[in-house]
Amino acid sequence: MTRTASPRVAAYAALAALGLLGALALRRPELVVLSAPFALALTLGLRLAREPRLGISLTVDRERALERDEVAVELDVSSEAPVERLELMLVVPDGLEVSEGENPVAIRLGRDDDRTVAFTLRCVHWGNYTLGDIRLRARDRFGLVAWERRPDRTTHLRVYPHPDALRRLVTPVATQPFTGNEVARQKGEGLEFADLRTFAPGDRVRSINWRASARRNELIVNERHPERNTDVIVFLDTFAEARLGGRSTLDLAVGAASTIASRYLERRDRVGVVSFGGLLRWLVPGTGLAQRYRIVDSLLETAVVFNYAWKDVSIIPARTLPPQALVIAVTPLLDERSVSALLDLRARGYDLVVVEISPVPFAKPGRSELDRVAHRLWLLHRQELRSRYESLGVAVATYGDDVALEAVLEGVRSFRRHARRARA
Amino acid sequence: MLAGAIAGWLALAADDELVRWANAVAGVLACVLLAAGLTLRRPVAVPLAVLALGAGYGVSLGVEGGAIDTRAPALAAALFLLAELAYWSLELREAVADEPGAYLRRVGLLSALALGALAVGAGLLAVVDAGERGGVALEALGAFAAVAALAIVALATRRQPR
Repeated sequence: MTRTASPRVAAYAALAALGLLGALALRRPELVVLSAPFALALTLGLRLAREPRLGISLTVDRERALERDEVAVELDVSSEAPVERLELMLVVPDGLEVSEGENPVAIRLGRDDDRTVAFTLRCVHWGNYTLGDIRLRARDRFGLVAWERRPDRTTHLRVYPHPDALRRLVTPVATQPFTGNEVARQKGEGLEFADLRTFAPGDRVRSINWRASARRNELIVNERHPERNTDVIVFLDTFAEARLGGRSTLDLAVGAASTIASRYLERRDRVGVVSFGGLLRWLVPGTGLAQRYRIVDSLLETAVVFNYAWKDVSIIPARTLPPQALVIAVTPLLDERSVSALLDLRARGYDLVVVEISPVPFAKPGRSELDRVAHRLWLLHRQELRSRYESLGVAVATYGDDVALEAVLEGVRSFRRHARRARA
Repeated sequence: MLAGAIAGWLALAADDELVRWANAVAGVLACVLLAAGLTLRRPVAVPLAVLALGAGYGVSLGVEGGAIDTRAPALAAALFLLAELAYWSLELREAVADEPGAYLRRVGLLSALALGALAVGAGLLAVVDAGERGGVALEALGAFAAVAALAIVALATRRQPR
């Protein structure tokens, strides 16, 4: 522990010395009396001060939490010798805040005493946090000496984005061969009625539609749509972000990507993630709870990495983008590389949806006329970009703080219904 | 408030006009220093304020002279209490929450220290009064105490990283 003297030490010593010198100069014993308490407190305080031997441990009640969750934290402190005042502080990273209890807090420890300081942290922002930077400062009874220590009790806490409520998802154009919850366009064994046709050898008796057979005087069987799963790729653009204060387009993008991935996985679809930016990261499509944790864990590591290198979809491993997969791009449409990569994906026949994380609220127009004109031009350019995607049959929906993801996906579904009708 | 009360007490009890003014000025200076120190979180203001009040008392001793002043132990206890309370105020400005009962313990400790200061001062005055003629012995004691105080400062401010 590092020992430091309080400002009292120098002050009391100086006062005592000056009082004694004054007493000598003026030949007045009253000034000795004035300086006596300071000298006595100093002597006794320094004589009685003992370095405390402290033990400390940190306990966090869980390793994973959702945004807005509360996590209980306990600091167990023990001491062999009495400590008059022990100041404890757990350094709380940005994104977490103390919601209940006190941090920092001062406690008193007796001989062979063991105390637990408990408080609750609220998870304000998703992220991968490291807790454990603890600051201890013990003071003696007279407040003359302090011992400081920074024990490291590293504990990790993963805070996942809070999933938005989504009742309906975007239906992919094509399904995969495995059983799932999506009604396929193809005909086969399933629940949803598709069509009627004449009986053929090999058809099961239970599929005969007896009413239709009676009307037509021949055996008619029902055809049905099978329920299949789909492949969904969440394409996260991490080339650039717009930031204002504590919020950024990347925060919104990660939240939206996490919600979309979780909801598709709940339907037993295969979901993969491509984080396309200065650093390319991917997760091959998979299904189940383990995949959900893998995806969210990988999203927590997402960051904008500045990079000048030109990148296109050819650098993405082929198995990451299975054929006929629905690609949901979550992007602020700020970087030309991601814009062209998405156009390239569409040209390669992928079923593409663009969820645009609008950077407009993060970029206020300037004060000068020139700045305002530039801002208007930028908005027009973005509008033109959206039109380009839409002309290729790609739905573009804008997501932001003031728009629910449910409404955004409804816009996408509406566009895709309209687009299909137009093609027919 | 305590600084003002001490200065007011010394000023009102003085017979000489100069002493009255000196204590009034010392009181105002001490109050200003303490207010500034507490506002700006400068602990150095505390000993300066105590020094100002002590200097005012020294002026009254030097000008008025006379027999041993029996107010000295009470004044010593008050000045010590003033310094402790000022440092406590500075500590309270730190964002560290105290557990319940800490204030009561602190008040108890400060009361005990003030009473102890009063008792020590009274004891010292009694010794001086009994001996009356300190002479060279008193000077030697004072010089030794001053050197010892400086030695304590040097020892206490030395950091001991471990």
